[in-house]
Amino acid sequence: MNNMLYQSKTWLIENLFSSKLNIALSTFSIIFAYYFIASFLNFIFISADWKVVDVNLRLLLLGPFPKDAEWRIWVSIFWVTFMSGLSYKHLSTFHLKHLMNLSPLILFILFLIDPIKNIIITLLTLISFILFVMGYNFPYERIPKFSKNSFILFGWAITLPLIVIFLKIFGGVETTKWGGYFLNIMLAWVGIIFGFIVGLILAIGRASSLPAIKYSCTFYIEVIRAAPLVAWLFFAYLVIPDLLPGFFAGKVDIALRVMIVLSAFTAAYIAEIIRGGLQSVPIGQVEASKALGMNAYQTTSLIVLPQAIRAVIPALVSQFIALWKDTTLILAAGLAFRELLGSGKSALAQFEFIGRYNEIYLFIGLMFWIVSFGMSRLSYNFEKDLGLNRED
Amino acid sequence: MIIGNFVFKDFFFKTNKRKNNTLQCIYIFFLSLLLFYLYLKASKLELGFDFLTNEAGFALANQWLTDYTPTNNRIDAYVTGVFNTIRLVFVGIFLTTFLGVIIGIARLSSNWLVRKIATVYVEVIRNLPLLLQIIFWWSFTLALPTIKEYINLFDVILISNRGIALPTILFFENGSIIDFVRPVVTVAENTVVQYTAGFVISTEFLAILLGLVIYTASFIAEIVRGAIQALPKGQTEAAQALGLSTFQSLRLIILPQALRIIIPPVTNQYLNLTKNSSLAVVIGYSDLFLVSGIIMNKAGHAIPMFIIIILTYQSMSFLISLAMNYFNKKVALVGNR
Repeated sequence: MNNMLYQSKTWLIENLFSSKLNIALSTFSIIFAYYFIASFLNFIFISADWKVVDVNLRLLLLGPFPKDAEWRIWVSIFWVTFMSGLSYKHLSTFHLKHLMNLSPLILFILFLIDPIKNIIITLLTLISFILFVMGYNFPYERIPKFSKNSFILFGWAITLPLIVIFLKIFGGVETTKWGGYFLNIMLAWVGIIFGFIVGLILAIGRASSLPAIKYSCTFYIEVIRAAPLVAWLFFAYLVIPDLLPGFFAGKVDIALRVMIVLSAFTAAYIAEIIRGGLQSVPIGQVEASKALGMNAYQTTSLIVLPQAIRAVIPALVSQFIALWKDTTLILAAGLAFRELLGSGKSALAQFEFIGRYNEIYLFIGLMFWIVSFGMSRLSYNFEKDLGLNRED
Repeated sequence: MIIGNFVFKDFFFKTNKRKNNTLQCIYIFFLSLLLFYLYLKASKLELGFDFLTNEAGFALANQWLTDYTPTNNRIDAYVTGVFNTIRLVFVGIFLTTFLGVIIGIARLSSNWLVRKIATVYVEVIRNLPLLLQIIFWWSFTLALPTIKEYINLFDVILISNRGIALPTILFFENGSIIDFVRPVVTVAENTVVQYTAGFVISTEFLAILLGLVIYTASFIAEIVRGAIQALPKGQTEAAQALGLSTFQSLRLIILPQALRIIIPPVTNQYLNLTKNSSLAVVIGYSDLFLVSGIIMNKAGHAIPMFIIIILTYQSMSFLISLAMNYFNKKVALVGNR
């Protein structure tokens, strides 16, 4: 006991009160932290009225999505949780610690969403959790001639088309009825996948030795990067319908236009990131692969690209996070299309909830923060597995 | 047939150069087809720039260095927007650098609490959408007391939901070299209350500035932290051994060396800030994007207006890069110049 007291005393002196400057800083920080944490907790548990989130939960998460089609989203969630279970085991070993870190968030969500009142949501969430565990304990070894890697890659590759099928079969839901948090997720997902593919092509094009291809790719990248994303969204809204051939006219709705713009915009930035990676591959690698008799296609796909992309994973992930955050910009571009932030604003326009913006914004912020932070942690673990050195 | 096949192959694909040229020709053919198609479609829209000389006919809430009225033409409106953007970007870059460097250093502080606060700041702010933060700060400024019940800080700063009023500084007027005019709130006869003196910062400007500065600072803090950590540890130890204080070793040893690593990525953040300033449109700060949005809504002409927007943002980015490259050359190691 005495020893512990002594240890904590030395820890305090070393970490908080080692010099006059530190004493001043610590005192100031303690007052600041106390004030901040106290008012934050006071807000969450006492002064906030969470009814605004509780009542509008459906609006915030799904927007105008039809109620009798909700099973489509649950089937998608089941598939994604199953796939996450499969890959989670593959990415890193499971620790209870990871769940412990998430426990405040889970408690907060339970606090917001009364689990007994919303019994169906609770049950379906439990089912998806069970699917996660099933995926985690998937018996690979019982299936002969089975490659774990290719199975997981294949599973993720078909996930997006599969979700679109889930949403569309048996007289599905039109994209104009998509909304809320679900819309943010779909937009970011489509943007990441198509942005990456197009960005890869642009990066290779820009590094090409053929001047026509090189300069047209450069021109595209530089023009897209010159204007902000809001401006491009606005532009797409105004101009794309006029530029498309006649028979597309009715078919390219706002959702598709936004997806095209997000992909085209992200592609330009990803192309620049991958170009940096391409430049970091030593020329000797290319020469060696040529000496081995590989052709241009083999050299690029087997030697250069794996090394180039491996070197820029952190930058790529931060671009993906930026895209995830930028899905809110359709509100700024003034499109009549309600993603999470837009739904939040319409919830605030309801008469009984006027002025309850702190609750709504805290909830929206939390929903965005979880995914961004999760992505950055995932990339951090992935880099560690790859053995890329990184400070901290 | 075999000979014919051979000739065909020889003509197109024998030498690498010829193959490349063929590929390029095909590529250029399809590209020009696409461009021609786009031109045909676009030529049905209005492509001239004459609409800019018409009367604007809309009022703008914020102005800086310009005296724009709705009777001016659209060029004047756009220029007002550009000046507003420049003011925002200029003040934003200055403040975000200041805040970012402080938080970056705080993340490496020997003080546990300071370190944790800085880490929480960075991890929270950087993972939240900028638009959400701007809207939050806007709600925050709107929730300030009304102008009738303004907060008075020593008669020097007045705060209300109409903005923050600071003293105006006058040079060579009223017979003195420097003179301060205190801000005043006046109640007119018809009970209109407003600031009548002082330098007023509008709530829109305040909200977008807070959003941009706080968001960008979290990225700059990470850059600063990375740069300081990339320095050899011996530098700090040598500074300590020489008896320099923490502040002295930061100012004289650490930061000048870290600056070389910091400048290129920070330039990128400045460009991001410039482009993100277009989000001012959601809260109604009349920056160049808001003004051009109004013009496009009123008069159409989306394509010419868009060319102007791209050129404006690109020239601002170019100027910032130019300044930063000049600065980068100044701090580069002598051998590397």
